[in-house]
Amino acid sequence: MNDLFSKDGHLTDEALHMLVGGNPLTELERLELSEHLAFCDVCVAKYADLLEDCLLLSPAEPVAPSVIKRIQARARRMFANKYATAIAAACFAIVFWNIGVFDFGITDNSKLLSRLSNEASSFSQKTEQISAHLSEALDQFMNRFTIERGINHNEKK
Amino acid sequence: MTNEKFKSLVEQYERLVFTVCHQLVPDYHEAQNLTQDTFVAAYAHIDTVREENLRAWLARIATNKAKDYLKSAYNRRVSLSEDISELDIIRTEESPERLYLSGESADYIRQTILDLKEPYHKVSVLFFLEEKTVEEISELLSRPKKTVQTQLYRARSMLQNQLKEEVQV
Repeated sequence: MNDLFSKDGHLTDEALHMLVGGNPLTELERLELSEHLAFCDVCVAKYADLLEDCLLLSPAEPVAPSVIKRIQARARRMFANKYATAIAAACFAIVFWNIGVFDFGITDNSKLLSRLSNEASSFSQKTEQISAHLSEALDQFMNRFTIERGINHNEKK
Repeated sequence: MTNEKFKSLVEQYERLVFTVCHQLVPDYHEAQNLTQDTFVAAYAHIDTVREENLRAWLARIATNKAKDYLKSAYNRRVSLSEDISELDIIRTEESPERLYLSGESADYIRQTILDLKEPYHKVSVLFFLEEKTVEEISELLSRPKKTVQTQLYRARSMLQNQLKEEVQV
């Protein structure tokens, strides 16, 4: 096995030259090199510099058209995901509006006002009842607590 | 960046990116796919990179794509488990490695770990001998956690193979 890494953990110059020069490397060696280059700024900068003087290969067909197609497809997908919910909600709102869901069957303002005031008074009555129940329950609990403490005090005595 | 501008940038750098991909994955068709993947990934952050850093930045994305491809191909063949709890077994009291370590061959195993070459030497010394966690090693060596984990699995496999050979001899 070649020494691809120096003792400080970086790629050796030999390793970078082997890679750029197209020397045969094993699958594991290529994996180790790519793993290191994927996170090491120093080595990737050296590698990019070496590539400047190297004869670059051309892909069989131009990459740009397919890349642009994929980017546009992705943008369309993201747009669809982002706005599909909002559009669906707006459609539902329009449908409900048209079939009169928001109408509540009230056409006269005075009827609406009287209904609202009735609702408000019944709500305040219910709140009073609940607070009365709560304070009663609290009193009972406190009384029990005092008695129990009293018993305990007596026991101690 | 507009699509037109990005298209001309792709045309400018496609040979560089293709070369990186092909040097790491010497398969023409796969290298072409990885080149496309690189530019698609680059598009999202292209505006945040300075012109002078563009070459190294694209080379880095390309090596990342190549790494993912090579790793999945390698793992399919070698089937290394990446469960971290499984890796910790090597340090438990009951593990055969530990029992062996506590015996007369402890020095031999210690030396085998010390003899490992980079990129496995430091991670193995820190993990198996100094008993540091993967997170600590990742911070100490400035390597991604996932990379440290993968390197430890491979180091463990190398050590086991060497120990097996020693036992057979």
